[in-house]
Amino acid sequence: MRAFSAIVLLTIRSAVRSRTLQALTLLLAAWAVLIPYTVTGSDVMEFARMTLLYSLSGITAILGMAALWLGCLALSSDIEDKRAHMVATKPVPRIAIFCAKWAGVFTVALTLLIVSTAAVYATMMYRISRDEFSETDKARLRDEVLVSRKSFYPRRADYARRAEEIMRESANKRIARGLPEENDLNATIRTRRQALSKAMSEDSAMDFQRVRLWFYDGLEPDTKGSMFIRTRVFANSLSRETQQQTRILLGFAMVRKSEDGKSEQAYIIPLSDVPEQLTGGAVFERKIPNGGMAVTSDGRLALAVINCDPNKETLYIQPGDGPIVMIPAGGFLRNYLRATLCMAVALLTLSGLGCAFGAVLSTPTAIFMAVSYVLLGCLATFVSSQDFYENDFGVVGHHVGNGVLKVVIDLSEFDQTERLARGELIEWKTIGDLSGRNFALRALPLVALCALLYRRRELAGDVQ
Amino acid sequence: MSAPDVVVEVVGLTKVFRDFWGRPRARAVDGIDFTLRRGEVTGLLGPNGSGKSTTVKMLLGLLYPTAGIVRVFGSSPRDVATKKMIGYLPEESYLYRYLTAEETLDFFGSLFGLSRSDRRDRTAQLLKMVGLEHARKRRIGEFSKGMTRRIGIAQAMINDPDLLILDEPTSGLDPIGCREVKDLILKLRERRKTVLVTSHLLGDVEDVCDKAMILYGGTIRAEGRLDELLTRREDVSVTLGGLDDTGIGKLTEWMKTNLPCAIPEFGHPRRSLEELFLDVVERARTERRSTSGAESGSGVAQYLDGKSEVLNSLLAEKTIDRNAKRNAPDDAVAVPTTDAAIDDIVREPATPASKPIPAEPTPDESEIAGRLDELLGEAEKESKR
Ligand SMILES: Nc1ncnc2c1ncn2[C@@H]1O[C@H](COP(=O)(O)OP(=O)(O)O)[C@@H](O)[C@H]1O
Ligand SMILES: [Mg+2]
Repeated sequence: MRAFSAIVLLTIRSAVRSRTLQALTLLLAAWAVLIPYTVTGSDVMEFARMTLLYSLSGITAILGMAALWLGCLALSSDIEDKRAHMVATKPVPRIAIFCAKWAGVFTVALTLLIVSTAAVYATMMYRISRDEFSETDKARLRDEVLVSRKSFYPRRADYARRAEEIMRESANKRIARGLPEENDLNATIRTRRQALSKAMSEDSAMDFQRVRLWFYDGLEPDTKGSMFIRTRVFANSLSRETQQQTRILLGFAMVRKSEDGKSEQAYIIPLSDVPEQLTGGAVFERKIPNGGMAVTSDGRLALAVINCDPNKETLYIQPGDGPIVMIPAGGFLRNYLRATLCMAVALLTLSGLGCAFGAVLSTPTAIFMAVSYVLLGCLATFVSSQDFYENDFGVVGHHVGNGVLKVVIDLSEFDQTERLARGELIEWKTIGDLSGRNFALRALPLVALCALLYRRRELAGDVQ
Repeated sequence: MSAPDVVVEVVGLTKVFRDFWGRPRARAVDGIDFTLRRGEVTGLLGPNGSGKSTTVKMLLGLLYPTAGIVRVFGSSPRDVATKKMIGYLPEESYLYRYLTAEETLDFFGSLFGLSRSDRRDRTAQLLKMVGLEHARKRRIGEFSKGMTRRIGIAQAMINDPDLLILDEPTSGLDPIGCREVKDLILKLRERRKTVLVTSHLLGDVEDVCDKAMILYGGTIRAEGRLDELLTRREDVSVTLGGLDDTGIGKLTEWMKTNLPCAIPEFGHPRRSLEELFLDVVERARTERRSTSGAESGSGVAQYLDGKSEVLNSLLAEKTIDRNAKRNAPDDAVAVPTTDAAIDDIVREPATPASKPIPAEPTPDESEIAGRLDELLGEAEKESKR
């Protein structure tokens, strides 16, 4: 233990002395204070969101790089400068050396993370507390950003099954018209893709003056607390350019017994007297003060949306946009700390990967490999998010990207600032999932493999 | 099965360095065998690039043999537990430049799991031993090569090793430093520690080693006890004091007529340059000390010296005796058996480092002188018998 902590301390000392880290720290200090101090949005909401997004994402990026860099250096430079000769001939297991180096690098990164996120928080709170913004603005801020809200997504239709149905229908149509069956594989794939696409857009679409219902499960019953509905509506098409003002009417769908008590009937309680006005393609959020009352005793909720578009266009709400029902679940600080925790897990992962590459490769190769690994993850994320239904590249990209992501970490998952800026609770499950997937399942095996190689390797031989 | 006092056992050790594609590049060590026993000081000699460091690194588990077996204290050199008993000075001292001398030793002490107070004590003693007490708060990055080397030696001793491996310990050291390293090795030998010293400087090894191996091109070309290796049985040398030119003429005349030997050489014994240098510096040091680099250290750190105060003083007497011999006029008669006799007397069974050294009351100087006389007298009688 004494040996372990001595190596940890030494790693910290040498990291602190690294010029790269000193430069990054300066950058970080500037970032953490200047961004929250200088950002001006069109209103207080934008100010708060942009502050969180820019400063925290920047901090994650800077510290991530630092952790990766220091990790690479921690082991490889020792081996190259042959100082490892002096350490490895002492009674310290190599694995302990590896872990101590990792712990040292992580400690440095974590300390910087804590200091800088604290600085961002303090600066932001300071600006909000000054009389820069009106009371109503502040109230909205407290409702929508400086809060943590648990979000609920509606039940999803089974798109795959619906796509099968669509395909069967079209095949039947071809037969009825006397056309031959499709047996070209490419054509089949294209048809399936189109069918899936159709199934999804069917589910997104709302025709004029029609009521669309969404069902939610697992809400807390018997609360009279407020509720938020958040969504994004597109009018006419999903293209962003053609969007204009539109209107919808929100309501809760309920069931009540008829007066004679024999039958049941459904009805909708509208949430406003006139339809809401909103901008197509922009995020729309609405507070419902006693929304909790609409939740059934078994935690269900039915949301109704009525298309009131002035131009009688079809409206679309994409699956990712919910509509999301959000319930306040606690203070902002708690959520802020959780976002910081996610960043800390990212730093743990990156410092571990840095050490892993540094333990088996020479410094430049290690840095190159580590950076490539992370970039590959970003590329794979981008490629796999390509529109699956759009074109052939989308399909290939989707599969290749997903394949690569089976072994490579997706760094963007650690960045929960968007969620934080939306005032959305970062749940333990989310943190557990992303840590499990990226750290435990992807990074840790690689780190363990490299640590074992380090244990077995010659320390005095040449390094590749 | 190895005998209990075998510390290092090497059989058929071979190391071939390969390039990235696995093609052999250099056969640095080629099938060597040797054994190091407890209490022996062994010199591994050889010109640059003969495979000394490679051999040493294999003993330490820094390199893995291509073929052959290495056993250190009966187990693999990669075994963590055996490393507790080993001290190693690499061919160059690879240290953390931003640590001070004190912090460096403290760090290596921690790697051995020494407690804070142990580390503090040993660090202080070792810094004193290598003569860097005054530089203990300075960063290693500011040190000269010799000073770094001294720190390297100090760190190799921090765990009071049973097996000490010194790779060219005197490289970069001034003659005083070399002398001190040799003294250290002698002290360790007295405590039955095993020492392996590599060097290409024969003078380094000559004074301190029991055994020597001469490595060339990765194989051992000569091996054995040093006195056997160095004694040329076919030649005889005679040292005579106070002989003038007429005397030499007569002697030559006599030898030509009476002895069937080749042309004899005549000359006066010289003392080596090293001895002269040491004398000069020693004199300067007693007058005034002024050096910003490494000072000559003061003896060996106490805890490394597993003997009582009395024996220490005896040893000091012995050194004085040797110096006296060195400085004596050429016609003084040397008593060849004395040193060996003292060595026998003072050589003591090794005390385990963890056991406290029993403190004895220091007898006064006249008493030591008296005892020494007794011992010398006995030794002389022995040799005459
Ligand atoms: N890492 C290495 N890669 C390739 N060759 C090496 C390596 N280390 C040593 N050698 C070669 O092995 C031979 C012995 O080197 P070494 O043991 O360092 O010699 P020395 O006796 O001077 O200590 C030399 O020819 C050297 O070039
Ligand atoms: Mg060498």
